[in-house]
Amino acid sequence: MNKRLVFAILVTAQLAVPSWMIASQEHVLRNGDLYKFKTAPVDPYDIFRGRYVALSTGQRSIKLSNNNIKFDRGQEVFVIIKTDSQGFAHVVDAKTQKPKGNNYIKTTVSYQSYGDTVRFNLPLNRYYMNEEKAPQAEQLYRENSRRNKQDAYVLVRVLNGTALIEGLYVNNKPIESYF
Amino acid sequence: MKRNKGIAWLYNELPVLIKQGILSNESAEKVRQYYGDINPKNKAQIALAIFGVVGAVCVGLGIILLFAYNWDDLTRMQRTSLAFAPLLLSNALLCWAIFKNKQSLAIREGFSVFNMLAIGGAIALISQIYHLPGDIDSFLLTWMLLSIPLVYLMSASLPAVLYLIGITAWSAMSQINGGHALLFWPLVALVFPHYLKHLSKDPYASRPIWLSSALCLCFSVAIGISLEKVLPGLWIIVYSAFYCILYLVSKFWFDDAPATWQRPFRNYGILGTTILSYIFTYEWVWKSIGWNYYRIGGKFHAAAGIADYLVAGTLVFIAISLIVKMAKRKELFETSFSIMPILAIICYSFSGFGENEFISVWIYNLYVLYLGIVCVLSGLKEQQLGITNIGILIMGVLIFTRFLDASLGIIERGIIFIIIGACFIIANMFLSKKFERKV
Repeated sequence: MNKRLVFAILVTAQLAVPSWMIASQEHVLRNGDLYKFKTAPVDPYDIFRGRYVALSTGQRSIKLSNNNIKFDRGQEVFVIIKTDSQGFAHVVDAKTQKPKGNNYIKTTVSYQSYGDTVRFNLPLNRYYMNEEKAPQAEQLYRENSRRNKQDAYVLVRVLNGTALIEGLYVNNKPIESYF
Repeated sequence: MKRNKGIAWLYNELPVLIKQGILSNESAEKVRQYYGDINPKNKAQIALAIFGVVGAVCVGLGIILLFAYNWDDLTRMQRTSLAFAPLLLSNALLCWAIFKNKQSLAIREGFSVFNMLAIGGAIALISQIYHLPGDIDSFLLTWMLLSIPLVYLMSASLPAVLYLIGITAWSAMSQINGGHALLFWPLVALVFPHYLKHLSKDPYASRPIWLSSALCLCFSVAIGISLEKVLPGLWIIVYSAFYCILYLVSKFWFDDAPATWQRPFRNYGILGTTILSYIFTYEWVWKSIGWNYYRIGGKFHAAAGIADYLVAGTLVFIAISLIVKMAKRKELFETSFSIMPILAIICYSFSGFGENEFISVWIYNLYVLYLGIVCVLSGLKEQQLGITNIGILIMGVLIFTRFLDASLGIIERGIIFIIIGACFIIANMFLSKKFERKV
């Protein structure tokens, strides 16, 4: 095949993949529904993507409404989310088929235990921050959290099963506003 | 390089030979014409390529680090545009090289590696900007697939080596995250046209040697990872056959390599066979293996298990065909190393069906001892001190660890160490004398 043509295809693909990533994330941020998930930040590091605050959204398992559903490890799952009276989102059920409406997040199953309980990882586990600020963010969270009262949450946009973090809040203020 | 050294030595000798009347001036000139100039250009090209590639790698990694700093003063749009900057720069450099037909080794390898790092950097940075979850396996797979065309477009081998490392890492991450790594095999096949092209041109040039070494290493890791492991212990047979094939392929088709480092298959084959055989002298290898311990459900995929049998069957078939071919040649050293998979199959049957690990442990203890003796004898016969010492090392390690296991008394252990030491000294003295006599 012509070398120039191969080059043109390669460049197109190399530019298309990151562009597509950007376009799909922007679509979710602009059109997604807003949810608040309680979270707890800690401070690890990613060699390629730099410093981030790891988030633990607390809830990692759900008791199924239908006992007959069997999940395999790594299987795609749609977790249904619902907002409680205090305004925080929780996972209330898990389905194998894409549900109607927009109140679900697509993720994978860690494993199924005790027959009717499914463990999963919500794809809301990283909040990237500047190298100097990430450790301070963790410190800030520790100082602001008292026993039985965790004051950190993430604002999340959800659209067609994709969940995207919009911001990390401590004491109802964006984490960036503390620095 | 070795050839150049030899020719340089010959050219230095020519005036002496003419002076002594051994060669006439015309014959010396004919020799010069036949061998041609010593080729310093090749060396300069390689040096340039090395500096070019190191430079490209440093710049690429530096850019990734700068961006990873996370410039939170910039807006999302500004940071997104920045993610494209190194990618566009590297594409522009590639474009210049292709359209201006700049084809030096340094440009081809350096620009390709820079582009490879730039595409990885761009995807990573976008994941950072949008706080995407850290699914490293899909990141690696996208990155590698967008990089592999560079190998063919620029006829560059370093991206091929990086690609092999990348897909091996992907297969590991994929298996850890609960998926399976069967895709590794079609992915690795994408490198083969490039590899075979260079291998058929000159198998002992540095490019195919590097690629062969990378392939051997990646296969060594990926075979273990991509096996679904529904049948416990199948790895014993698969790895034994794999290293045997490496060794015998080198023996049959790449035996005229001028130097040891130019025989990566042989080196990995011998090293792999020896280390594996040593591992097989331990009891834990042979415990709980075979059909009685068949695993299914949870993280084990039955369908992917079928691929295990295919891989095992194919490797064993190739290995045994090559072993039969080798046995016909009646060469003690080569046959001794290559029979290892047959022993592995026999021992697997003993332990898998008969639940008897002691026979396997004994067979492999004796086999490793035998390999040590064969190395010592071949070294002495061929007068190669290195092989003799390797043989003594093999025996030494085996005896040393076995007698630590057996919890013998201090006196017995002392005697064993004295015997091992004496073997080293006697063999070396014997060989040194032989060498001296020869000189």
